[in-house]
Amino acid sequence: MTRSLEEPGQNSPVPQARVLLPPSRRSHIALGLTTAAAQGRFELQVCSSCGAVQYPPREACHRCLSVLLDWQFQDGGGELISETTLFHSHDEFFREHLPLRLGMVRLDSGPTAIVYLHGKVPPAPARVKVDARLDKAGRAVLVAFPGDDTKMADADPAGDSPLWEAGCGPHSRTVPPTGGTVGK
Amino acid sequence: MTTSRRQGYEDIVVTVPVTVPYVRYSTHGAHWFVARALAGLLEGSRLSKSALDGLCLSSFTAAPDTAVGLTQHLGLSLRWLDHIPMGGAAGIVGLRRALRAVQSGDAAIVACVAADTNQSDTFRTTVRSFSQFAQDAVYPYGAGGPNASFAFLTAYYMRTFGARREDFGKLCVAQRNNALKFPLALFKKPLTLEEYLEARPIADPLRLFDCVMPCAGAEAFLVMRRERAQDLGLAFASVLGTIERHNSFPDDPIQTRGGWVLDRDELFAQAGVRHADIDLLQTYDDYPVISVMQMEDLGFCAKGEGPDFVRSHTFTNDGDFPVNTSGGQLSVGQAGAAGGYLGMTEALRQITGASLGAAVPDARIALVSGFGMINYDRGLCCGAAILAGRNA
Repeated sequence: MTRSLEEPGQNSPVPQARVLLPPSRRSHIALGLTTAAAQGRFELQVCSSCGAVQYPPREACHRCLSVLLDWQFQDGGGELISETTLFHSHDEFFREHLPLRLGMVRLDSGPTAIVYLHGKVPPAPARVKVDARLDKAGRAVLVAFPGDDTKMADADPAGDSPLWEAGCGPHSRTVPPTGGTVGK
Repeated sequence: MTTSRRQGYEDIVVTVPVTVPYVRYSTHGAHWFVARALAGLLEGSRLSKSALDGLCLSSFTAAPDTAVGLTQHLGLSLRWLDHIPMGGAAGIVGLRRALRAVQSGDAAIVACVAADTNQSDTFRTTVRSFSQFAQDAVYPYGAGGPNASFAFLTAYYMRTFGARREDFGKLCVAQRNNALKFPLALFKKPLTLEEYLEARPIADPLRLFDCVMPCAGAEAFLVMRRERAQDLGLAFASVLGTIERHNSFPDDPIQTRGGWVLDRDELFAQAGVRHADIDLLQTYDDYPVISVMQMEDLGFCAKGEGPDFVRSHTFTNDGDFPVNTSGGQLSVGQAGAAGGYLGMTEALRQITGASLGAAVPDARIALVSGFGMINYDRGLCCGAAILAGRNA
């Protein structure tokens, strides 16, 4: 589990460190992913006209140009087709968490997604299950778990500390309002 | 696939290749580099500024200005203006637009310019805001930028087609050898295969020398009628054929091919040449895997035969298949959108007998290829042009 932040004592001689967060900038439409993730669900837009699943989030269907796109639950099954381990990042937050393992997953529903890989995911090619989790900035990120087990993260958090520090889970965090209802 | 016959470029030529020397970082703005490039074009052609009536600009760092802002900033009065935000395909696409503008009489002399600065944090800002998809679905995943994108493509290519790191290393080492004789290259030291293989890891399987180095600089050339170039006494190249294609093969799960596959037959048919006639190839080479993909997709070998093709050829300027004869971006540097022009200006110099570095012997016909814009998970813009120089 992520460490909760210790409250510094008054007149603490330790200089206040600037709290770094992962990049939070998203387009308005992409926040739909976060709205669902805050409620514990992985949802993508599905075209009401032709049924095409969209990712990354879009304003219109890439297949038929319909603008009637509904956020719908995804089971997240897919194949890890390629992967990399990052040793360099352009972002200050991520630099403190390198190396980071990333994957490219072809979802069974169609789209290709760039995701974080749980440490237990075997090398590509491999079956994975993708889920949406909230990161430290309160934004949804996609994470691939081995086989069919999205519970792995809860069961084995310490086994994967870089990924864990990069976010994943609203525990002890302030989650920005997303339009969804967060249950206790 | 073919909808109409492509009209040729008969009497329109490309001339006056200009490079504004690259620097790793610069405090100047992009406008400074555009100005230096234009001054170089005017000096090289002995034309006055008022003779320019067309401008085709590519830049990532001119914001908030676009090409139109540059006209006032630099005091240009034009009757034709274009802005090509297509990165590594900018040189090919810009050339195509300029050729038709001059051919149709909409402009007489078009300056094609790609210029970018590189200041502290410029590259991160470009990566973060590169596209909506990049902002929403790539940057939040470790912010690896193009290194991560090409790591995925490289890892997949290696697994699928049996390429080894040594194959990519051979290309990088050959290009460095070419760069050692090219005075404008930022990399001045020799590179051994061993150094390539043992460099620090960046994004597995990519290591340091697989990755292009961002810098500041500019590249430019002029497009005009042949008679005008002859009157001015300029060395020029003819354009035998060109192609471009965007968002090809959207249903491929991961990129293993580009739009060149769809258009290469038309390119060679329009040009009236065969693969064996090509004296030198300029690929878009921000990472070596994409160079190999271009060799395949342009038809120099079949898909998947790239690794064998690399093993059986030598890519130095005195080799049997000269590639990226200035050293390419991997050894010269990537000055933003100018990276999409680097192959064009170098090819022009080689086939007009004006090489700044080691000349490819008897070079007459060059193929220049462009590839750009990793909007999300793959490069969307592909293009190529076949140019013929002296005695061709």
